[in-house]
Order: sequence, then C-alpha cells, then structure tokens
Amino acid sequence: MCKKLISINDLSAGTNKYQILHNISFDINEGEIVCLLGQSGSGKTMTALSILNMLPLNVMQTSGTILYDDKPFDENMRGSFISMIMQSPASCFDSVFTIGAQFKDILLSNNKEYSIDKVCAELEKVELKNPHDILNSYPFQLSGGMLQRVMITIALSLDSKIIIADEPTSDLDITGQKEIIDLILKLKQENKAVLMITHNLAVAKSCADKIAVMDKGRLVDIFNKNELLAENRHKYTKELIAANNRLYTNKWNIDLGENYAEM
Amino acid sequence: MIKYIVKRLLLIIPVMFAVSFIVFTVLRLGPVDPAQAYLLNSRIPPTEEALAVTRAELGLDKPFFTQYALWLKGAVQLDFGMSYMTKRDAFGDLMYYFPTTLKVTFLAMIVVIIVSIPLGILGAVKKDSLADKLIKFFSFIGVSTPSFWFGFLLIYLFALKLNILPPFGLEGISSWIMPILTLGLMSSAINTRITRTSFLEHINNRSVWYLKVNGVHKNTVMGKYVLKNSMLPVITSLGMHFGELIGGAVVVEVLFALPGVGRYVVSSITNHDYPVIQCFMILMTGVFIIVNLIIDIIYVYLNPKIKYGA
Repeated sequence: MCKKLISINDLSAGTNKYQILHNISFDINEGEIVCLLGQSGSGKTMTALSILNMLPLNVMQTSGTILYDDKPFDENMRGSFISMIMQSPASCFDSVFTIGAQFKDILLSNNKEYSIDKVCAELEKVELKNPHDILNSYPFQLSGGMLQRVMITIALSLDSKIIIADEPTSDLDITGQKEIIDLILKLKQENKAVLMITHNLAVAKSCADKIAVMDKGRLVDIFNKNELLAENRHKYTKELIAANNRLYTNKWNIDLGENYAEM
Repeated sequence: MIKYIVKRLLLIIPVMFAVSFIVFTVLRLGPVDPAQAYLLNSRIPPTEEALAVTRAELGLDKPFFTQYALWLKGAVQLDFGMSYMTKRDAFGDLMYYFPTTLKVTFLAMIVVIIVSIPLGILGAVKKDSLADKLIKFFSFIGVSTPSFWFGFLLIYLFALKLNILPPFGLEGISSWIMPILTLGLMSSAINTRITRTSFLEHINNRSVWYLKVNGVHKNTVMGKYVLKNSMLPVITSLGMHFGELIGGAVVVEVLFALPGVGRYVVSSITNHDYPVIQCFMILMTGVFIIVNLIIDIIYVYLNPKIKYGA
C-alpha cells in the first residue's frame, strides 16, 4: 500500500522531573493528512518537536524510535524531507529582512534553486496577488493570512515529503481558516503527507484522513475520519465531540467543512 | 531615507538655537559677575570704576536679550568672544585642543566596539561555558572599576613595572594605548552585557526557530538573522555611550597629561572664563548631535520598521 514516511514507535519524552509523552506510536503515510488533536498541554507540539528532533534543551527522548522513510534522523532532513508551517506567522518571519530574502535563504540552504519568476508563479498559485511586492515587503507589512500563504508556498517550494503544520489556522478568522485548509488539502493532491496539529475538531474533521487524539501526553485514540462517530471511540474523544457540539452547532451553526454542522 | 536625513539635519538648527539659549542663560544665572571674573583673570583689582569700564567694554551693561543676540550673531560666525584668561579667541583656543579629545573619544569608541560586540556574541553563543563566565566576570569588573583607578593600575603596570608604555604625554602611537583603554573600559563592559543579552534574546525567537526547522544552517541563522536583530539595541547604546566617553575624556586627559580640551575647560570653569565655557558647551552639543544623528541613520537603515513607519 502507501509508503510509510514517518513511523513513530513507542515514543516517550520528558524532563528529569516528569514525563511529557507516554509511549506514542503512529505512522504517517505518503499522501495522507494526519491530525493530532488535543487540548493545550496535551503533548501535540512536543510530539511534533520530537519528529523534528528540536526538543527543548531540558526535555529528553526517553524511549522509542522515529524512522523517516526507514532511516534514522539526520540534520539534513530538516527542510528537504520535513518542513514546517507554524502558527502566528507574523512572528515566524524575521522583521528586519524581507520575505524574499528569507524565502531565498531557506531555498538555498536546501540546495534548491531560487528564481524570482518561479517563486512568483508559486505565490500566484496560492492566490497571492502582486507576488513581486510581497517578496519585497517586510512581514509587518502583510496580513496573517498572506504570511500563512507565503509559508505554505515555502513548504511547497521546498518539495519536502512531509509537512508539519502546527495550528496553521488558529489565529485566522473563519474565512481565512477555510482558505488555508483548502490549501492544505491541495498539498495532499501533490502527494505530500501532512501532520496537522490542532485543537479544533472542526478543522481536523474538515481536512484529516486520520485523526489522532491526544490527552495528557498519551495518544488515546487514532482512527480514520469516517469513524469519528463510531461506537468504539475512546471516552475522551466522545467528550470532545460533545463539547464541540455544545460550543458551536447550537449557537452559530458555522459551516467550516463538509458535514460540519451535523456532527 | 534621504527625506529622513534632510529632516533630521534641519532639526539640528532649532535644537542648536535652544541649546545656545539655555547655555547662555544658565551661565548668566551663576553667582559670579562676568566683569569681575574678567578682571580677576587679568590680575586687575575689581574696583567699582574698573568694573564699570569692563562692563561697557564687554557689552555687559546692555539688556540681557541684546547681549544674547550679539553673542549669537558672533557664534554663528564661529566667533565666540575672547577668553578672559588667555585673551585669545575662545574658539581658536578650543580648536587647538579639541582634536586630541575627539581622537581619544573616537579611539575609545573603536575599542568599545571591537571589544564588546565580539565578546558579547561569544558569551551568548557559548552560554554558560567557561568563556561566558570569564566574559561575565570581565563585564562585572569593568562596570565597577572607576576609570581613574584603572588608569593608575595601567600606569603602574605598563609604565613603572614593565616600562613598555609612556606614562603620560603624547609621543607616538604607544602613548594612546593606555588612555583609550582607560576610557573605553566601562563602556566596553556595559556594551558587552547589552550585546550578550540582546543576542540571547534573539536566539530564541520564533523566526530563528522557523528558519532552523526548515533547514537553514545554524551559521547563516546566527551570523545573519540573529546578528542583525541583536545589533539594534547595541547601536542605540553606543550612541549613548559616546556622550559618556566624551565626558570621561576629561578625566583621562588629566590622568595622562594629554593636551586635550578637558584640562583647558576645567581651568576655564574654575576661573569663570565664560566665553570658553559657552563655546565648549556648544561644540560638545554639536558633536553629540552629529554622532547621534549618524547612529540614528544607521539604526533606521537596519530597522525597516522605522523606515516604513510600522
């Protein structure tokens, strides 16, 4: 079947005082969007950081292995094999360099060619108008949504196999969220794997193939999207769904993804 | 950018006017009568008669604003009046001494830059290592050492014991070494701390993290992104320290018997030599404004947030 791009096996991590991640195992296959779902502090980001081998200094991986296309981690994988899209893009770009300069440095560092015409064409693909102006502007001159698109374009231009998206929609409004989700779905069409980290069930449901639910550092439930409402769901997942229904459907009836309102 | 520079240059004019007025007024508020000071400096007993003659001669009997206008008229033509002490042109006298002071100050500034920036960066990059601890120790000692005492130590070591540097005067390049080290010590120490802190602050920026996670090499991230960001507060602080250095130059000139403006001005102050003091204050203000203008231009050049008014 599909190729396993990342396979996490029995991953645990923690500081010397307490454990943060408990025996996490899951795989990410080619062309698949996996959503890590959970509340703040549940260990979603720590899992992503473990994959990137970028854990904070005081946190150590205590057990488990992560294989990248059946190979162990090496530094050159950052950028070329895994790239990352982050939340709050306004603070992810350096404010004293232009977007173009940062774009260029990222591409050149990964032995990719940087040609302005090609980059502009890519930017136009994510519906950014005046790409030349965007490359010449500084991050504080662009909106959050625009920067998020630039980030996605960078991830696309890097042509990495897997993209980790850490809450890419969390500080955008509903329309902005929808547009970013559409772009992430497009990534899937280019046969990229995406690990999407979110606390938003609706976002997860609207784009994921597989949803992994985390709670207190444990992976409590993992299932395909269409099994969300199945009977054998973990108790925590059921609570999440119930809470989500109480929050949104009765009040505003916002349609984010397909079938969202009836969830 | 050019518009900004022109605007800043034009702003110098009102600032200089305001400073000249303040300088002139504040000195007139002093307890000593200029005419009396003039006579004392000329070794003439200040009798009522002599005072009246002197007042008329120096124009001190005219109303205050007339005096100011006359002085200002001369000042814009670089004629700041005659020194009471030497009976020579005050501006000419100061210009004779001023280059030495400026030289000491700028050389000390260069010392500050080449000591503090590399040390600060090294301390930040190798945080908590032995090198970092030594750098911290240096900056702690540097901040708390009075510069005149440090100067004495240098003289004791290099002139008296080792006999490799001249203890005073200006004879060749070697005689500059101890003065500029003495003058630069404290500012170097403070700037080392500022550079280190600023660099550390930016190492953990999300933008730095984003670049690293997408495969940009550590050296590029540090040497380009973190460096440019962390230099912004350092540059501002260097501008501030310039004022400190030019003030501290007086102490160093006395200590090492350098023919700088400092000693001359100190004796002018004790002798109430008003024209020299006024001229000196205006000159200092001018230098300080120009240096800080240059610093501001560099800052704007480095920080697009100001350039584009965000």
